[in-house]
Amino acid sequence: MILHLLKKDISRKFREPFGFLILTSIPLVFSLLIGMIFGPGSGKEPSLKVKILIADRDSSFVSEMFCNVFGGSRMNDLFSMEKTDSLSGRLRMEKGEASALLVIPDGFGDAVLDRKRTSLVLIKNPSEAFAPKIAEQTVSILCEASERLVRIASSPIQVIRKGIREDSEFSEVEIALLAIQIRRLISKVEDILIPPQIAIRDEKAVSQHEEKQPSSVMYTHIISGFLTFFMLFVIEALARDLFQEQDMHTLSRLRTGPVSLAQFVASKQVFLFLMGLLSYSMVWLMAGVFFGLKVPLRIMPVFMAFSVLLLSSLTGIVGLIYSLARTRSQAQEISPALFILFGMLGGAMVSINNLPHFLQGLSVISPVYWGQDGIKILLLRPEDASSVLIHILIFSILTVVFNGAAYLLFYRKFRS
Amino acid sequence: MLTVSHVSKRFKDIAAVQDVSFEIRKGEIFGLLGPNGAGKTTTLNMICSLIKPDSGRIELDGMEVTDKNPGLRKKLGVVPQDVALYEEFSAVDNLKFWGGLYGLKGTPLKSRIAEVLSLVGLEERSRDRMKTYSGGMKRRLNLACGMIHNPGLLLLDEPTVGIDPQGRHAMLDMIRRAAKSGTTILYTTHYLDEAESLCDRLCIMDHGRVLATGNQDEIKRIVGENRIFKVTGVFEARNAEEMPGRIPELTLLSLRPNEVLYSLPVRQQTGKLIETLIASGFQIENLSIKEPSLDSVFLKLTGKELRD
Repeated sequence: MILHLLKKDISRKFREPFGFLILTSIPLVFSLLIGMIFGPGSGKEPSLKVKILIADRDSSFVSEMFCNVFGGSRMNDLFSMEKTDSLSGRLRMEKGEASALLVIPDGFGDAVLDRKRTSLVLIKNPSEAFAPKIAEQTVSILCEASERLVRIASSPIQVIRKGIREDSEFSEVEIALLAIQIRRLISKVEDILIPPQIAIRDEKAVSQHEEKQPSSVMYTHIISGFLTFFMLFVIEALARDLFQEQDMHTLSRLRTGPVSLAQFVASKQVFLFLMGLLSYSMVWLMAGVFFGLKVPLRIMPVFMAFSVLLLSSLTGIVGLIYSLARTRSQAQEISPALFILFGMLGGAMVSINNLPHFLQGLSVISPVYWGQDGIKILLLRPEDASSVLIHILIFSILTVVFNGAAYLLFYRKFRS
Repeated sequence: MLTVSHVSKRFKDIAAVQDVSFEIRKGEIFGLLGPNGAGKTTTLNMICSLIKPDSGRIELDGMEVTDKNPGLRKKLGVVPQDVALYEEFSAVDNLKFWGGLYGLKGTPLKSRIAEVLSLVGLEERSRDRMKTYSGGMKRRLNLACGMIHNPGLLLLDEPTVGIDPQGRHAMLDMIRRAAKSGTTILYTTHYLDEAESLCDRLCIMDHGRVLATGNQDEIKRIVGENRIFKVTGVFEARNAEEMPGRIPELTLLSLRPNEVLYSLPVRQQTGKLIETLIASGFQIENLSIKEPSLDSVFLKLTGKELRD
């Protein structure tokens, strides 16, 4: 009987598939757009560099060191540095041509070397969210590093300073002695100076991974959060059929026949799950076709178990909302509000790290968080697939609890 | 075939059905006649176990009908008042689904689909989506889906509501043909003419109560060989109440402001009643006379016309 009802619902959906296809196509269209912008065939690589302008009024070797850091090969992947004067730099900032403008004042180098108070001016582009922050963080790390370097290496630095001031040439012995002194110092202080460099190396590690499929990693990041969040909406749209059967009076008619209410409710829950799974599979299929996103075969069973339980728990969540709502419009109003909350907390819209601290702790209550995290692990770190077992366990619990509760509430609702 | 014994149902403060009893015999068309709100649909819903009676018992072929007995419900065919079908499907798809629900499949299902499509005259449009059908066609398909599994008892809840006179006529014809093929039918309606032309036996209901049950002759005998006089105009209530004392065999049925109902045997002269009314100070605005009929029965039993 459940199969007969299920066949009817699926058949109805495919007779008028427009709405379902539109819904399912949204993540595909979204993905295609990303692909067209950043994909291998677009001729563009993702422009993730932070453009920084430096107005160096000091022209000391200290200020040069700052310029070299931003323009050097180590930071080349992260920053695009251009020297300018203070006035034209400000004008270009007003036009929004860079993420930040660093103004190094006259006498900055001497002040640093004499360990006197001084300041740098950093003008940030207000229309950009993250890039100016990256510039600010880097400048602040450089300031701290310079200060520590001057404290630790005051002796060789003063020798170099004096040489530069007097424009005298260093003998080979002096250079050798300085080199040994500096080498020793570096080995002492590298624990302090290395952290920013380590951060840069991490970025490079991702870039190396991206060399083969520049868009697939980015797509994985986007789809992992977006897909779970989006599937809630797909299942919610399908759940409207529950009330539709009431409105069409077919539910009453079914109940006058040999269909029990339990069979009707169960068939609807299976329908929501199967159609959600179909939509989910279509997204992955297209992701494979357009972005070469592939699940390694060795983790396929884990991926499938994860996906099935993710979808069944989302079905339970939507089912519970609909079973608690008094009317269809109430369900349709509550659902998106709750989904957006889940999306926000789960990192589908904003990175969890950018959420206020107290909200970061609440992320774990969002199914989007677990969905996103699980997909990222499975696709980006398949060697850690076993760590998804906790996600599978959580989704199993959600599946049983939410679907069970939804079933009982629906049964009671339709019975009355 | 179906026995309804002392069934009652309340919805909060409203007594929807009160102590209703009747029996439907195999092969007959049994009519539940009454105005809107009389309790017909509630009674029907209890018969098909959509709602549970507060008291009383409903038996089909000697077995109690409850929602815990889906097997017994297979013997019932229900045609709800509202069209309850899937608009995305064609007539054939709808019939396949509803037939499949009752266990029909393969060749028996196909041949039954052909039979009912022919009965309701939808063969030519059978593959078209239902949403392209007219209101009358949808109602015919609604009827066909209720009959697809060849039920022992077909419950029809005002199936002609909202259909044009021609469509209504055709629908009644289909129901007659279904009855001829051996299906027992419970037909609810508030149309007297439908009940009169279609039903073998009737149960008249109002305010949740059974007012009369029997075949048409038995029911008409309730009013006897009496005409019902409905007088509207200006008159003193006291004068209206005193009228039966002035004319032998005149019975006062109901009295409302500016409206009074009397019953008078056909052998008595109408002219005498009118003369007496005028002599008693009645300023008659309108006087209507109903010959013995279901309408006059209803009028006599309830003091109001069915269309009121």
